[in-house]
Amino acid sequence: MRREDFEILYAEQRERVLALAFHMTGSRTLAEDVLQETFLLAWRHRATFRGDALASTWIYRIAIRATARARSRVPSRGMVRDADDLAESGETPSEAAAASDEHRRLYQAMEHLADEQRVVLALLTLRGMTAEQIGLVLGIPANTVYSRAAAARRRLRELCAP
Amino acid sequence: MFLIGAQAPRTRWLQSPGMDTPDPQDRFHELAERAARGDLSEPDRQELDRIVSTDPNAAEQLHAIHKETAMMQSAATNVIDHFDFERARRAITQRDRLHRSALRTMLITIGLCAFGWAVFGRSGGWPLLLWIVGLPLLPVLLWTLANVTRRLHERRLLLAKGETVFPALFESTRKRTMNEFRLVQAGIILVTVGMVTLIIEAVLTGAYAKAVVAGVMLALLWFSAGHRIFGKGASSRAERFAEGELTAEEFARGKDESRA
Repeated sequence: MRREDFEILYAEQRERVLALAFHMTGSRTLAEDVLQETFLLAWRHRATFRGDALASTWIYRIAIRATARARSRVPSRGMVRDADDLAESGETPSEAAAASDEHRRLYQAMEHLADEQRVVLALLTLRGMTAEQIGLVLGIPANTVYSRAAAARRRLRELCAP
Repeated sequence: MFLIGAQAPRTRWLQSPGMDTPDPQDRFHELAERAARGDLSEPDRQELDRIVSTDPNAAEQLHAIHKETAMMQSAATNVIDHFDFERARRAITQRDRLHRSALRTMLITIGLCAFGWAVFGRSGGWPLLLWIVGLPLLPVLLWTLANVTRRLHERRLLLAKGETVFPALFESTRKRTMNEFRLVQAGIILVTVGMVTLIIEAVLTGAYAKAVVAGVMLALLWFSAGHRIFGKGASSRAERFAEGELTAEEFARGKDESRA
């Protein structure tokens, strides 16, 4: 992969990689770290990219591995602190506080999902990702993507239930 | 739960002979996930509407999926909006350059050691050679170990405080590069002192061949690296390299073309 191709890959995928890492770690701090690590690894190992898969598939696989390493370094870290400044959708302070609380509960619950469920949910949430693409990234059929997502959603609802 | 069997709404897959029969729940989840991301064709939308209209539980789940997806997407958008991707790109390339530069330095050092051993080892000059090479390497090794430990500790503290480590990482990278530059300067001075001592000793004892080899090695060192490390504006170039303004090649060329 040439430098120009790598620059294009970075420009196209940087936001998705950051979002994926954020959904996977529940932490803005770790997600930023993962973004750097992912593209650094991709640049160093660009010779191993043979072009028989999409570059996006390749970069997501690297990102997932980098995320797993980041999570293992800080295993107990969650979304609790970061969620406070994420929810800006509320028009009033009380609405914003309620939204922030919902975010926090959602990402706290995601911490308790199995890795295979969390990664499917994180990839499905990325805009423009199809189940077929996710299946290629994870090496599973598209219908397995949906069944894992369904299991993840059920578990999330159990965890978020008051 | 879902209506399965006789009560289930007739869906397209049930009407397609020869197809594998998917689980109705799986089909609902597929349609619901795609609906949450706005990726439904009109027939699929109608199919989803049929399921939802006959099963209140499905409607509730569809609403929950929409809500969770929207929340996660808005959270990610917020993170993306607050992130400086260009600065990250510079930091990534900077880290890569530093690692490659460290690898090159290590290989050159090993090469010089091997060459020196081959030349001086046989003539009994190896203790001096070890001093020449080992002395500059020892502080580098100690400094590297101390620095790695300190950085890991700093990062743990930052993460514990919930801070964004990125600016801190960038700053620590800049400082580390400048420290490495000073270490390289110190190393070159030490090697030069050692080589000059060796040359003087060789000349005094009449070992002119050894003196010539040592002189050539010293000249090569200064020709390849010394004047760029100590030359005019070297420190300022190193600073700009550390901040990602100059590439490794621009720094190695010894020219700051952007200021020319």
